[in-house]
Amino acid sequence: MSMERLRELAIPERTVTVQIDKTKCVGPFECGKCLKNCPAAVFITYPKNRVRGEICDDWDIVADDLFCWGCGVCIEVCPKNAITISELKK
Amino acid sequence: MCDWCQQHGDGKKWYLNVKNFSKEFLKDKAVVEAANAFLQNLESFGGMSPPMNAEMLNLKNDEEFSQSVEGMKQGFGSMIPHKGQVVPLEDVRKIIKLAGPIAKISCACRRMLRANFEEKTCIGVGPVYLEYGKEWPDYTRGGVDYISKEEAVELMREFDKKGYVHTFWMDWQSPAIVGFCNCEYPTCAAIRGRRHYGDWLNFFLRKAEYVAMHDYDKCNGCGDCVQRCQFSAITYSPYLEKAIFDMKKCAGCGLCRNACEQGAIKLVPRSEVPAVRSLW
Repeated sequence: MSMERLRELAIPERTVTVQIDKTKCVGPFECGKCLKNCPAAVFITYPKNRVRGEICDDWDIVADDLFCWGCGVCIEVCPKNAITISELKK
Repeated sequence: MCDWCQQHGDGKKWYLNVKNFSKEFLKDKAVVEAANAFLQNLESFGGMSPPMNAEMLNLKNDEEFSQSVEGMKQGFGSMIPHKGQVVPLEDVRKIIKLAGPIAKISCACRRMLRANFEEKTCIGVGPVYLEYGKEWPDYTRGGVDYISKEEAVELMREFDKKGYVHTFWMDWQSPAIVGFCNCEYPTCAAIRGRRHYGDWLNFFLRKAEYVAMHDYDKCNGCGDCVQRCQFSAITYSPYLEKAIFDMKKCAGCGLCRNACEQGAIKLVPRSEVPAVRSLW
């Protein structure tokens, strides 16, 4: 799909990328500070495997960084320094 | 109104057609299957920030990502023309009169985007999801609290005062009613989807049957309505010393009325305004 098509669908070009170090991250239940504080609500958590009749405790966090402004609030609030934001070079 | 609305609206708005509230849908295997799949996969599927899903967000290669977007769009396109619509408080009251049973559950978007499992702003009104919600305790964390019609109206009024936009939803495969969401930008996956991606996303969330208009003479330029708008449709003009309503952006939720002490804002039917008549 061309850049023009993306523009037509109003999908922005990715300018920054948000990386979460999963080895350091303690997850949305114990902490979840990035999710609670992000002004653009960039972080998304979802159950890895939800089974009927059961509570799933294993939720993953991903970043919808297409809409990240790079303000750095998440880096400030993360107690484990698990988040890095880097600018993508053209 | 689209073909789907006319087909399932029985001459009225689709959400006021009592047929769509029927328990008969529970006998339809396809509807039941779709409801269960929704309860199982909502967070990891496109519900979060359409047309994104968790799998796609992990793709940092732009080429692969673009292909996924195209696939997702086609997938959505094959479903019913719209899943949700913005409804103002007066229509909320009419819907609650028709609805039953009613229950409040924790909000899916707050779970996904804020890791908040407490705030119960999703008001399920149809039989479809309430019947199966109990079977998916991870989806309905905090439980399903049944409430009376009076409590539901009172709750919706509180949400309106607080500034949450009401949207009303149907099942993804049939006209079966699902319930209300009460949310805001950027925490609502649907509202943020509309703000991020614009009008082509109207197969997911439609604007209301109304549009806000303000009485220019009554407006004293206090600007209180500006911060009430979750769709960035109102700006304050320092030159005119008045609020300006961008009717093409207005979703017709009517929340701005709560802020106006002059009573200058009213909702008019979208069909009466030629410029926005076909903007959904």
